[in-house]
Amino acid sequence: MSMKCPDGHSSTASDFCSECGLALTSAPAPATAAPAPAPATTGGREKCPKCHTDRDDASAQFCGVCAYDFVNKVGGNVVPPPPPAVTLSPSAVVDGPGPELKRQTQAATPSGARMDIEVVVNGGTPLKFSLFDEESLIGRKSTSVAQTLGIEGDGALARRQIMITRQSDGSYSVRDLDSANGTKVNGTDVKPGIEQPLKVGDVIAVGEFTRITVKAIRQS
Amino acid sequence: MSTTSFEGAVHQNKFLSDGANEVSAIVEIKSVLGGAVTAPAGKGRVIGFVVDRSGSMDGEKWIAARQALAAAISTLPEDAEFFVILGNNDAHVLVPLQKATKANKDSAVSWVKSQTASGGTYFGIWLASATEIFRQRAQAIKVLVFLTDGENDDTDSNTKLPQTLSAANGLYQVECRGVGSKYKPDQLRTIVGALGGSVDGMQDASALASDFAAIVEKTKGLAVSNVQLQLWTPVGAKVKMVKQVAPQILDLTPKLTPGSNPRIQRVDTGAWGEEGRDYHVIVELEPTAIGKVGGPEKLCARVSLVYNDGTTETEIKLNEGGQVKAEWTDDEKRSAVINPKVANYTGQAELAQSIQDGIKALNDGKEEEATKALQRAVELAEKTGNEEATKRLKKVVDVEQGTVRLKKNISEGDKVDLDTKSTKTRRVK
Repeated sequence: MSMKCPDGHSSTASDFCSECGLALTSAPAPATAAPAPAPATTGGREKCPKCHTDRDDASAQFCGVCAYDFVNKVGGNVVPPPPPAVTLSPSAVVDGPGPELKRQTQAATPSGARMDIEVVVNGGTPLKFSLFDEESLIGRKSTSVAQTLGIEGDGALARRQIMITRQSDGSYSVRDLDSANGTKVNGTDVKPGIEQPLKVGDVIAVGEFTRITVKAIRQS
Repeated sequence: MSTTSFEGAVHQNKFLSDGANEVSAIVEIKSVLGGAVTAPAGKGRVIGFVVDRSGSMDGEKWIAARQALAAAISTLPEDAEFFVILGNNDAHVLVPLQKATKANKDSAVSWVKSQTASGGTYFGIWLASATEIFRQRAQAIKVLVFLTDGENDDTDSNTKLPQTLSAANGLYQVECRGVGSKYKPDQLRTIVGALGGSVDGMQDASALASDFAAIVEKTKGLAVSNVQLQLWTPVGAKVKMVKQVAPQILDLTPKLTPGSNPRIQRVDTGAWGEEGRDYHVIVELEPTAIGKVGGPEKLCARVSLVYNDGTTETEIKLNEGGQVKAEWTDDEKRSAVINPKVANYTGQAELAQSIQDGIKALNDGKEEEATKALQRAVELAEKTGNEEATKRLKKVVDVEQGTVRLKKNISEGDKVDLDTKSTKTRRVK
């Protein structure tokens, strides 16, 4: 028996579409039903064949998301996900060759105090950063959260994973921001929200396989 | 065949964050045999032995190997067929393919006991000879017991071993054993990686007898052969990885072959007795195949087994258990959770790699690199509760307050043992 999936494929399986895998909920299509209209539809709205977004209305020529041309049936830019990488805001600075960065926040912290860290994601190349701010938010790279350091390549990180704070005496500490998978310092789980003092050599383990090592703390 | 059934269970966190394109799951498959185990009618069972008789085997190892071989032969079930190849520069077929009748076994045992060891080590030649014999019994359950104590000398013919292995793909599986401290575990892994089976090793040749007996026992229990793992994936999805993770790690990804339609891929899993095997499957989705937050659940892989008896193919569905799903959500509390089994096997795979990297660095004289890799291995062994690995690691390194230091005089045997057994995983309950 043939079924129709939400994307309009005709499926030979009755639980999930045998083409695209979407869960099937509708009743089986009658055996005598007319063939589905060529463009896939959901609730009467046509779907963009490139990015599967609903067409704004039947007269809209271009897809609102990928700019696919419904009239001429061409175009549509579907951007592939970027490769895993560590990206950073201007307040974290790469040591050595790397992307050009403005050291503006260093100027904003006249004391010049900083903590140098090394980040390794999934056993990859170690990347060095300097944290200049009083508070540095580190987590899975996000466009919606203002992070000091956004890490890609580890899906188990929270967007708000840890906060590294410089205390009034110049020492640094880390606290876990109640992340789903927790944070370890030197192999021991830290309680969410509790400041854990940091010293050079400490290893902060977060997400599935991200290691952040404290390389240096400068008080000047 | 009708008496064997398979049960499957999938362990995963199906919730993905918006835009995430990778679905990871552990698929546990357990075979259940109904009634007594008998060889599938008319199909038969062939057990082959390839034993290294090179010069280095001479002495205690050779005495123990001959005894273990003789004992294994005498316990073969009478309905099986067997053959024995002794290998050095040539493959000497000591006992050709024959029924394991009492008379045949007795004469084979007396032959084995009168053999001497000398010459070189040529894996490619030995395996080519075994492959030729196995080809005569296409539909039988076929297991090769392979024993060596040294390094493959076959360097100029780097072509011979790879060629043999690719020609024999799927034909039989190998119980690959190293004895002593001079063999190369990665060479054994290459053989098993291509043909399936298991890798193990023993420093002391006196352990061979019980190991060979265990292999024969296990082979008697094999009830179905020519079983393939089948993966259905939707349009826009790719099987990024399929790896056996228990009882041993065996990456099957390079061996995937196209199935009956473009949505289907298959890989050989050899013969099954009453046992459980776990697989780690990672499916990668193209941007167009990624679902929407709040959208319907999506099936990202359907795992089943296919049994081929030479004329017809039967798909064995894994009741509920064969479905790897995905659902996209904005709720980080749900999407960021890693399924404990996925996390554990990811850790154990990394453990195996860290051990192998560490031993390689050690052999290359790169002590700093070795220490770093073995430090990671010690951490992972503890984290994943792999106590056997921890025990083996502690013969090579000292651990003090979480810091790892290489032992001063590491025995070659302990090193090779750690390397050989690196792919053994602890099954997660």
